[in-house]
Amino acid sequence: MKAPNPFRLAIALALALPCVPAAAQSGGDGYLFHRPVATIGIRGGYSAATAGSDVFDDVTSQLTLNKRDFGSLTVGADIGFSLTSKLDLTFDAGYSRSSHKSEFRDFVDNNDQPIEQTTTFERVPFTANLKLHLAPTGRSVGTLAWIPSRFVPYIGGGVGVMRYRFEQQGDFVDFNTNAVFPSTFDAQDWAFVEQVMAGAEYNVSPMFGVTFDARYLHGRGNLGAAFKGYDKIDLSGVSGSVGLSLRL
Amino acid sequence: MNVTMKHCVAALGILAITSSALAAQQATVGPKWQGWIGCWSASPAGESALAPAPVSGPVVCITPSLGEAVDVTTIDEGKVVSTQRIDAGGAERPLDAKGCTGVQRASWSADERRVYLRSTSTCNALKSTTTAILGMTASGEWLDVRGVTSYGNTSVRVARYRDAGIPAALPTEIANALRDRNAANEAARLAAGAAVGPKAVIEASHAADSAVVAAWLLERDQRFNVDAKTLVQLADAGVPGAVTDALVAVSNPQVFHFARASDQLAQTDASITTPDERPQERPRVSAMGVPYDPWSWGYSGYGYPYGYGYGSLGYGRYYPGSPYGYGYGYSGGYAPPIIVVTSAEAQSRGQMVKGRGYTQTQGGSTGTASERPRSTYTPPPPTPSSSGSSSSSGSTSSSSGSESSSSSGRTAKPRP
Repeated sequence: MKAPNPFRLAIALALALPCVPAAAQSGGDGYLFHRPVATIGIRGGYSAATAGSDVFDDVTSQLTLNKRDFGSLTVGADIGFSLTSKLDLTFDAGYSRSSHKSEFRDFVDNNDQPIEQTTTFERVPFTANLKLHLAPTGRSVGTLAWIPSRFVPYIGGGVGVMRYRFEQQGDFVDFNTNAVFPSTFDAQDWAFVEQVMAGAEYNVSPMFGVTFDARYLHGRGNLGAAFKGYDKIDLSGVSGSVGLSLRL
Repeated sequence: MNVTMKHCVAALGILAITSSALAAQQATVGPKWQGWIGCWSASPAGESALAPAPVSGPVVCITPSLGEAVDVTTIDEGKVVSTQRIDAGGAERPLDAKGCTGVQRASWSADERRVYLRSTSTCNALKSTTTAILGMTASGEWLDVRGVTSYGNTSVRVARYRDAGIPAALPTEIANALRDRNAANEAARLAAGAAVGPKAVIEASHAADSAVVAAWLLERDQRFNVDAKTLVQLADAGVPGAVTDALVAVSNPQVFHFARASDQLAQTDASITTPDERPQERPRVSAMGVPYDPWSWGYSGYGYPYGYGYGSLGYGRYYPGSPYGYGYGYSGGYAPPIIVVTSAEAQSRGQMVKGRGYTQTQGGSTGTASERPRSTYTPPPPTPSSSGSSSSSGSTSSSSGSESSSSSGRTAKPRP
């Protein structure tokens, strides 16, 4: 099954988000009628892969790839629930996928044509996080009015799992025979991950805010039988994103 | 020439001083009280403020007194039942009540459109504080909101009065005092009932109990242009949350509706409920007490010992199911409205049925809650001689009135 286009997904989410509260008025001029119980957010940005394990070393040394090629645009969504006035519990999902064509650096085929393949690195983390706001998220006036703060920085961290896939598809050289053969090398599995994050939310209205988020995710996963003898694949990476948040 | 001019100026000055001194000695009233001058009768629920006053029943007449004071006289069947004086000069005065000690004070708002009353008293070792706001509504009704706090418990009552004209059976001295009423009174009344702003809300919050101010805002039904900046300004000025809640609620009628609390709920401040928690509406049981007493609930059984005037029997005594309402006596007024939060779900329940068109399946409670309980209720005729039992009959008959009123919201009719 073809993976969803992250750009289309992000655009669809961004367009759908403002429609959520349309059914009911939940606030007045600059305030909500209650302290928000949940926050839904979407974001889009760029995720750079650390690509620190030996499988990346080999791939980048043999093929016309470098480690930056494993970075990609990323999209994510999260839902957060207020635990206290400054602490949220968030559940977060992300998606990043890089897919690059390459050829062997040092080999061509018998027709002097490059030996080409495509390498895909896909990561889908699901994490539970604690997000600590470094300033009050808003101010309650009575019980029927809650006024959000304009700018709220935060830090956070969490743990979770990641579905990942490292796949190479195309033509390859059998270094034992120098034969060029078509094949697919595929490694996909689940791995435990942990992440830390920092960012800020700029509230443009009582219901909507713009988020600026940076996070570092760390994880390593098994490569499986297709990549024999390698260490665990490095799933880590740093990402930066801009998003929209909606308070409920 | 110069000497003549000086003499003229001196003569005019003496004349002016003499005139003002004479004026001060006469029973005059400044523009502050001008809107109140006249006779007032209970404003029955459901009737327009412009409806004719009832031909019988007690009236409260406000007449000019010395200086800035007015006399508030309750007249029933042509006889003076009581006379109270309100001097809103802001001076603290000793309490004038049998068996009680304390002080009372009346003062004008900064814009001179409302009067704040406050009294603290100790009666039979029971301490209580009464605060009240006397104001006008936009339609020219006299709105009287008062609350009594004793040992942390606050109870609020609201009464409305409307212009009763000058009844025929009026004592001569009062009729004479009101003879000079003119269009200026009506203008002053409208001015007093004009829209208020955040400054007035802040001022009222400092002058009266928060439950009283909240009830005043809910009863005025003025829609404020409340934004976050205003709310912060109010909160920073020390306006309690109950008041800002009322402000938010009246300013967003598409979201918040009001209903009268049940007696038990009326013991608390304006409550916030969801439609599921909505209590049964409590219709107005009375719009005035007899006699009018600016320092108490109003009707006190013709004397403090049985009334709520100074807490001689203790405020906050509630006897569930008691036909006598709040303890002894007929409290006068009615409980302030409570805020009902309308959920989107409650608004959207309905069906479109083939052959029948649209129909509402659920959410009728929202419609009921949106009814102001002042729709069709007709109060029982005042019976001042029966204090406790009258409240019983009043409550019973008014309950059925409320049911009929709940179906009299917006209706459709064929397009002409």
